[in-house]
This record gives sequence, structure tokens and C-alpha cells, in this order.
Amino acid sequence: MKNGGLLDALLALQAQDGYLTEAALIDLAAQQGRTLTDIYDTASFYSMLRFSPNAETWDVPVTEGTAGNGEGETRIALRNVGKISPESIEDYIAAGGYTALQKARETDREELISTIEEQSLLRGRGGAALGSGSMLVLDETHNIVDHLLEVARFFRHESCGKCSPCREGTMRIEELLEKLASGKGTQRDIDLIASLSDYMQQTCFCPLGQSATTAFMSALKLFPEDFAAKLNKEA
Amino acid sequence: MIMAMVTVTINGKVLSVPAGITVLQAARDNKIDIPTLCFMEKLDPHASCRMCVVEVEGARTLQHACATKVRDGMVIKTDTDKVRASRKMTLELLLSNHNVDCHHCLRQGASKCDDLDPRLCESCFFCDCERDGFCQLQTLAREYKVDVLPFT
Repeated sequence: MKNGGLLDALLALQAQDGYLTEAALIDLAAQQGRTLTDIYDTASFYSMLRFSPNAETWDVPVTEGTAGNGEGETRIALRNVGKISPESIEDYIAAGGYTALQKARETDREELISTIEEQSLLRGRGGAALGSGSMLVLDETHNIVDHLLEVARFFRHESCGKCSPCREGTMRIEELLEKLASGKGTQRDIDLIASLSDYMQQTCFCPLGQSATTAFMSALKLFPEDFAAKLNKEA
Repeated sequence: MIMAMVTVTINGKVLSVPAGITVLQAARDNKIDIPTLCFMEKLDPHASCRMCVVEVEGARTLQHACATKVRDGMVIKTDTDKVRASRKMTLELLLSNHNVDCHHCLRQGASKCDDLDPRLCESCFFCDCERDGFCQLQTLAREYKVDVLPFT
């Protein structure tokens, strides 16, 4: 019965003030003979309890100037503020909530595949993979090697270190790409990245290591000129 | 009790082995050597060093022999160019981050005939191998001809 009555008391306080003020919580702690930490522990667990005023009382600054279509964005992003009670699911559905979920439920498999593969033209073009569903757009002023260095850092960080190819390989690829990106690389470094990538894809224990090198392999195939541009001219 | 047997092909040899054993065990029972580093008998396989990788027909990637169970009709190759290249790269990666020059042992020559002394020199004192008198890394580095390490 540790938390008996506490949640009800917190909800009553929120109904009264709109949110949980610190003063109210201190009073509540004294009333119930609990520590403030104990109260916070419960209050911060439930997402319907809040420690700051609700969105309807926020001042929304409207961006002026060149940051995109400022007015349009404001209107769309905040059109429901103040209209929907965040605690009522009926309100949310009435305002058009969950229509995406409904669409997802009604779309059949064939239709979905055709949307992804044919209409969006995302799969298999030029050997590119959609992967986890995210897309990154870089214009031609970027050198792909700089971006690959970010990818390499990510995988070196993500590698759990269990198997040697992934633990050592991700670290070495990052090292080689760092060298290339800083303009000190040689053709031998590019060849090493290629053979390490091939090796990791075949030998790593789990699919993280096996797929960590997909980006390097496709970049080597599709953007050889970017690698060439990064080579050390003096060597 | 009659043990269920399965038929596997290792390096072209058709073998009948007990069901449920690993590829490594099947190979070693039949005097086919697969190198290992992290494998220890009587312990669960860890499958992390990747020295024991073998080619299995139909598999997308190289498979670890120490933790892959035999299946009926499995076709395994333990000593192809692809497997050897992978093992060599594994050794190179491991030795690149190793505090002893295991692959350049002064006592061990280019071949067993060239060995100056079967004992290991004192520069191995960091490792347990000095105590055991046997260094698996050195043996493998020699077998897979690891010379200049590609990583610094």
C-alpha cells in the first residue's frame, strides 16, 4: 500500500492548478508524511502528470525572416494547440488523430510494396539500399569520404567488441577514413578499406558487423572520384 | 543406445558423424585441422575470434566451426582461399593490437627446420605462452604467413 492514494492526490492537484507546482508537492509530502523524492518518483513516472504549464498557455514565437515557409509551418504545426485536451483520446480522434494508423491497417501488402518500391523508386536504384528507412541527402559539394567517416564513427561506437573482425575492423576503418579525410591517405588505404569491408561482411559474428561496411562498399563503387580527390597529392 | 548419425562432406570427404556435434568436433574427430583461438574444450563456444571460420555451401557468410552444429547433407570446406584470406586478416587485426611481436619470433624461423630453439624467448613474458611453452598465435601467424602488419 506504499503508493495508496498518492496518484489520486496528484491528479487532484493537477486538476486544481493545471500542473504540479513545487509548492503543492511540498505540501502534499508533508500531508502524506512522505519524502519529496518519493512524491517525485511517482509523479515523474506517469506521463499524464506534468511539472510545467500545459501547451495551451505557452507563448509560441512565430519565426520571421528566411527560415523556410515560416507562416505556413506555424499554422500546420500548432493548429491543434488549445483545441484538443491532451487527456481525452476522443478529442484526438475527432481532430483527425490515428488516421495514419488506420491507413496503415487498411493498406494491403501488395499496395505497400508497390508504394515503397515502385512509386518512391527508392529500392535498388544504382545499388542503393533503403536500409532502416532513413534517407540522407547530400549535394555534390560534399565529399562522400567525409560522410563515411561519420558512418565509421557510428559503427565503431556501436560495435559490442565480442568478435575480433567487428571490434578491430570498425576501429581500423575509422582510422583509415580519418587519414583519407584529412588528405593524408594513399591508394593503399583505399584498397585496405575495400578488403576490410569485404572481410567483415563475410566473417563478423552478427549482422551489425556484416552490414557495417555496406556504406563503404557502395561508396567505393559509386563515388571513386571522391576517394581520388582525397588522395595525398605529394605521395 | 544407438547414436543418430548424419552425413557431412568436409573438404570432399564424405563422413558419417553423430548428430548434434559441432563442425569443429566433426573435423577434429576425422583429423581435419581447423585453427582456433578462443575455443576451449569443456566450455561453451564463444565464437568470437573468428579463426575457425569455414565455408558452408548455401550459407551467406563464413560460418564459425566451433558453434555451428552439423546438419545432414552439409558440405563444408575448411581450407579454401577465401577462408585462408579471412583467417589471415583476423590474425593481422589481432596482432596489430598486440604488445608482443608474435609474428616475428627470433627463435622461430621461417619453417620448423629453421627454428633456432624450440623454446620461446623472453620477449614473450607478457603472455601466458611463455609459461606454457607454446604460442598458438605464433604458430598460426607462421602458418598463415603474416609478415608486415597492414595496420599501425
